[in-house]
Amino acid sequence: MTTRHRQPSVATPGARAAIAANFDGDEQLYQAFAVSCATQFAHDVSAGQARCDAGDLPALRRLAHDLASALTLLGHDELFAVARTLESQAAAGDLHSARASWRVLRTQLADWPPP
Amino acid sequence: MSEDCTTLEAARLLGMSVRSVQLMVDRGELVAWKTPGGHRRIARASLEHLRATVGKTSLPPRAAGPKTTTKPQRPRVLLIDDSIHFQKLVSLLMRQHFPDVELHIADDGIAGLALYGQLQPQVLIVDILLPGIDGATLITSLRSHAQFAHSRLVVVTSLDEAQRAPYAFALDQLPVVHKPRLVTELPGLLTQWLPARSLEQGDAVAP
Repeated sequence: MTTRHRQPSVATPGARAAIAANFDGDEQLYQAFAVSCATQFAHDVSAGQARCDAGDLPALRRLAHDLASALTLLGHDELFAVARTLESQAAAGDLHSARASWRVLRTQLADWPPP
Repeated sequence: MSEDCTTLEAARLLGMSVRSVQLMVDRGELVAWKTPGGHRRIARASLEHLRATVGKTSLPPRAAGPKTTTKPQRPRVLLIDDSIHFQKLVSLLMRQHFPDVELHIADDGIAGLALYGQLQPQVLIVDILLPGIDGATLITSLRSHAQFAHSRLVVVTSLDEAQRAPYAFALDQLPVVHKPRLVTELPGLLTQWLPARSLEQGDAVAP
């Protein structure tokens, strides 16, 4: 059986900090959560694109909120910031800016975990 | 087929009593209207939604008949959260810290209320932002029922304290876990409420 996903790294500075701060030092738990996120991100990309295409900002906002929560827990601060921005833009009804932020987020999540 | 059904039909479809369905209608958990004579008519689509969402959870099979041995019922925890990411994280935590506890999951407030009635869990973990009925409304509704006195409730949220302010009315005297602190705070809270044997068994080495 093969897997589509690379194993998420626990060696990046962000991951190390997240393991210490958010996972009580439990590297295995972090790894298990990161693997489950990698699988779910693929679904999130599809769902987010559909919501973006439909201009469904409330649904896009909910997705961005969820992604931001997962990304901060994983220690991916830069992408967390993009998700938070997208959440704010969607809340403000700014579809144009939200689509631009979504493109950044989508590109990163579609190739998750980062090499 | 009619787009609406009677309370009796709904009760049969959901496997509940007529009274339970009536209460669900009155609480707004099922989309319904009343005839001039006061009879409830329930939208079939709302029933299907409820059945579909409840069907996603892992309900234990009902006993088919009398048992010859009595097995102590496992403690139950119900998580109501639409985030798949956090559903998985809570599942991982429960497996790690409370392997003897049954975790049930509902991903919206309506399904959560229905499951709560069926399961009567010892602990309820509820997110604030939920599709359908939001968590704050759900919590207020639950706390108004006498049967809820038997359950402990933990609120989980990604909202910071300022963002939680609009929901303060529902969060009074409840433990609130900020999601980034879930791993470090949730197991400790649950340890206070779930039977100690769960922890003891969780520490045991599997044969």
